[in-house]
Amino acid sequence: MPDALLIARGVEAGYGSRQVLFGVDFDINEGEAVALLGANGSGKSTLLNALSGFVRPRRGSIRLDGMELAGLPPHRTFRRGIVQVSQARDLFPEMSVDENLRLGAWTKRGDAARLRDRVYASFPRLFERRGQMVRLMSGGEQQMVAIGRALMSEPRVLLLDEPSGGLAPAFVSEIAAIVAALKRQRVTMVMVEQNLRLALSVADRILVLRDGAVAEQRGGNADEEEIVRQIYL
Amino acid sequence: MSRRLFWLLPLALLPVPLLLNPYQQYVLNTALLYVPVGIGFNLVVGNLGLLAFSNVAYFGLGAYTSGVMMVQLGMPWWLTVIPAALVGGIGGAIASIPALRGVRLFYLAIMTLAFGELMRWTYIRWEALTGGSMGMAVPTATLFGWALDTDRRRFYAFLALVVLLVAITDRLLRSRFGRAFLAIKDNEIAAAAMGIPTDRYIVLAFAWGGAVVGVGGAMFAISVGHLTPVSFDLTELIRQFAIIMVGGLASLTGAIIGAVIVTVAPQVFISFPGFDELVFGLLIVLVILFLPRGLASLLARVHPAFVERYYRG
Repeated sequence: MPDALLIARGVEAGYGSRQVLFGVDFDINEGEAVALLGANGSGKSTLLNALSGFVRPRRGSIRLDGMELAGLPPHRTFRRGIVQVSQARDLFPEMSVDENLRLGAWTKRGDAARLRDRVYASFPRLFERRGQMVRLMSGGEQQMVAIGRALMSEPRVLLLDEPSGGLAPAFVSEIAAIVAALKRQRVTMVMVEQNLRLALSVADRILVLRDGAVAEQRGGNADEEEIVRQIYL
Repeated sequence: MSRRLFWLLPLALLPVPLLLNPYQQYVLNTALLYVPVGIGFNLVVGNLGLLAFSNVAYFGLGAYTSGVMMVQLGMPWWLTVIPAALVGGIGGAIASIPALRGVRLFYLAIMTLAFGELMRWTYIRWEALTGGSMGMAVPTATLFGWALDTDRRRFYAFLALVVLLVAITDRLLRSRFGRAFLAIKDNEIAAAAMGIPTDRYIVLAFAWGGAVVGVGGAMFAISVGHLTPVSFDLTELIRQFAIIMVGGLASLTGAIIGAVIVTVAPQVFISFPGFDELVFGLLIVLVILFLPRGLASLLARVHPAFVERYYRG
């Protein structure tokens, strides 16, 4: 079997004097969708931030295609292909949908038009609102812009931090459909998601984090109740 | 501003000196030299969205670089313009250091303000070069051997420089750089998350802003003919800040309008001592209250030719 696409070994990270991750290990294969589950404070978001460079790991290694990423600033990990769609969504609120998407292709000079057409093809709703200022859109639409913008750079690994967090139920199913479509296109994904049903419906594999380390790994067809027990008990 | 308008304006200004008396010509020259001062300030505060108040530092650095090179090295003025830009630009790059370390908002404002005051202290202390608080006389400027000994002559040199600086800055803001500035202003973390090396663009905006203001300083040196540290104090900073607030943040047209209003308005009321400051203060308050995006936004409403949206370019 070839080496995994993204390999983490002994990753430790935290904020100030508070350590959150205590040696995280995992492998993620190309085209795989992995759900990262765990109770509040187990380190899920910190792990995503460590992968994308927004939190600098104190120890350990994160390799993408064999190249070390640990310690690189976010704009460099982005160039290597690790793209995060964060909980705060991190959009450009004063810019239109179109301008947000174009900035998503910052590192893909000259390719922006083609990539944008592709994003609009998979998100017709964004095409309809392409001239609208993002600040004026609903939470669900903003989440779509954030995912669309992340796809503009043709990421090697897409990190989704609670894609359904804080959204109205109608949007949760829409986002679930988008994530499912990404999976069909074999986009490699690491997803943190509170909505277990959504997470289990797309994940090939589940990593359960507890106290800042991977406590459990299993296939995506796991029983929901058992997972809940794994996470909280 | 639309391209055509941009080139028409300086052309329309060419015959204006024939209509002005020497005093009015001096005021117009002052307005002209404040255009780059406003543009540079606006680049950092308006386009990049960082509250850096070291603009007077670059202004003074440009002015003293030009003056000192003319006095100490006997160089003609036109040869000192590029060094003035360089020194102003280096000043800008230095002033960006706290911003690169993550200092923002009023913390950044205070630290950059301190830089401006430190420079003023330097002009006072470094008497051998600057003449200290007594100041230094700046010799008559020459341009390729042609003496810029009247305000009318200086006007044409200033106009050419200002057109050049506006054109280059306009190009910069329309390019990828301008889009990066806007992205950083709108959401710095998101900009970094899109692969934009934000540090590099912050230094660039400060340095280019400082360079443009430095040229304004070189113009100031020969326009007033005498440099004293008191010209670069906090009152001067407030005047320069008023230029971009009255004219309009993140707008080239705004910097031009602001430079003209802030220079000319006090002159109109100069025969009523004390009244000029009152009117000037009132003007600033009214613009901020009713036109938070400055007088340039009023023009943009009047005619679409004045609309500036660089990141669409």
